This record gives sequence, C-alpha cells and structure tokens, in this order.
Amino acid sequence: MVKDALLFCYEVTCQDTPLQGSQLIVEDMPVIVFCAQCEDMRTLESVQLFQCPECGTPTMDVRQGKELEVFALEVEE
Amino acid sequence: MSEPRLVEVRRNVLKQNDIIARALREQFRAAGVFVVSLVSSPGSGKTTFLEKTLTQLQPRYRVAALVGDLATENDAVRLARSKAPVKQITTGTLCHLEAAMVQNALQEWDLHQLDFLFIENVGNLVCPSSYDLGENLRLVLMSVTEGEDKPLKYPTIFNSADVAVISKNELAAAVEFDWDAARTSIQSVRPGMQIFRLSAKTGEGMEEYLNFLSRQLAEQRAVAQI
Repeated sequence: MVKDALLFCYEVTCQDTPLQGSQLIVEDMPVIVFCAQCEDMRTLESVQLFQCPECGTPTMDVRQGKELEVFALEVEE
Repeated sequence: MSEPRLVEVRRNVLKQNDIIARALREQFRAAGVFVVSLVSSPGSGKTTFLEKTLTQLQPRYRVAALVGDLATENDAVRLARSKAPVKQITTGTLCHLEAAMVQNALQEWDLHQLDFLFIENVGNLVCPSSYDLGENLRLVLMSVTEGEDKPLKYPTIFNSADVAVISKNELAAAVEFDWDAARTSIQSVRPGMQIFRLSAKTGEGMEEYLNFLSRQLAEQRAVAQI
C-alpha cells in the first residue's frame, strides 16, 4: 500500500461530504519476523532484506507487518 | 460540543477478498485442480510463457486459463491457439484481479474436468501482491531484459510469490544479464524461493519447470486423499 496515495485519495473523497476536514491517521507497522536461529522476534530494517538483523539468518516467518486495518474512528457528536 | 468519542472498528480492509479466496481454495481442493497464478510487469512475456505451458502440458493434462487485462481480448485469442479453454477477464480500469472476479469467471466451468488452471494477472508488480485469488501457487515472472534488481524495487510481489521464473533467457547474453546478481536479489526479498531460468521461445529450461508443476499436482492430490 502506498501511504501518500491513500492520504491524497482520502482528502479528495471526503470533499463536500460530512467528513470534509476530517483527518486520516495512518500508523505504520514495522515488519517483525521470527528468527529460528536466535529463537526471537526481530524487526526488519528493510523489506528488501528478509534476514535477521542480529545474526543474518534468512527468514520468511513474518509475524507482523501485513496488516491493513481500519482500526478506529474518533468522532464528535 | 461533547468530547470526541473513540469507536473501535478493527476491520481488515481486504477481509472480503480473503473470504472469497478461501472459498475458492476449498473449491479447487475439492475439484482436485491445481491452480497457478502468474504475476509480472507488463511485457515480461507472460502470455507467450503461458501459451507454451498450456500447449506442452496438454498431452498429459486437462488445462485451462483465465487471463486478466484492463482492455482487449488479444491475450485470450493468443492463448486460445493452444486449444485449451481460455476466458478473458477485462478489468476496465482496475490494475489487478480480485478473488470475486475469478469466482465470476469460473461459474460456467466444471473444475472437476481440469487438472491445471492458470490465472494470468494484469501486468503489474504492485497491487496484485495484496489480493489472494485462492491459488495454490503464485508464480512471479521476470524477464532478463528487466534488470537484476527488479526484486529489490518491488520486494512485496516477490515476497508474496512461491516460485520465480526468469524468462527470455535467449536474450541473456545480448543484455549481459547477471544471473548471480538476480538470484541474490530474489533470495534477499524471498529467502528459499525456487527459481527457474528458461526460454519459452526456444524451449530451454521448460521441461524442468513443467516437471515441477506435475510434482506439485501429484503432491496436492496425495494430500487430498489422506
């Protein structure tokens, strides 16, 4: 997902609707993998390199970072 | 005005697609058909590669293909030369296939009459990565003319794929394709991925890849019988 594109589209889509002026807050989730060598969770430094940042072991065991969720709405009544 | 109120939604944006994809996968399993989806950039040789795949599998297997494009039925016409059943999905302005489109396109087909079904996605290395189509195997195709660092530029599509094919190998020498560099970039974004290097035009390397597909089908059926 391209964050800038999402933010741009959100603003355009909300124009002339009750949501005009509302704000879209995007929370980036880092990619966390499990390293079988270290037996621990590790945060990837880059999605161009799927390996443990500590020991260098390649890993495809992704535990976080694929989420695309609408988490919550903050509304004023 | 009262204080702002927080309403928790927690809804997965792609949930609807994932639900349909799950149903499709179950449908494929029950019918005993092995489904391969193809993703690549435009012009990497997907249609030629698929035409050869269909033609060469046909003596032994019952095969069919769905092909996605924004417009025209040119690819379906080309693939129909293989004599396999082919259906075009025109997406209009959409840059990828979604599970619901696959479901609609398959309505008139009896999947029990098939061994392999191929789904050629729209040529695009970005959006197709997020949409599960219920396939058993996602194959990412990259031609030698595209540059060895393509996987590093589009890591998500390579990461979401199960197997990679380097195509147009007959042009490798002319474009000074660096095989080791390409393999390193693929393994960097998708450790352990199997890679086939072939030329759909000359037939070089096709047999190894087709044997791999035969084994995948046999394994799926063996599991289904347990």
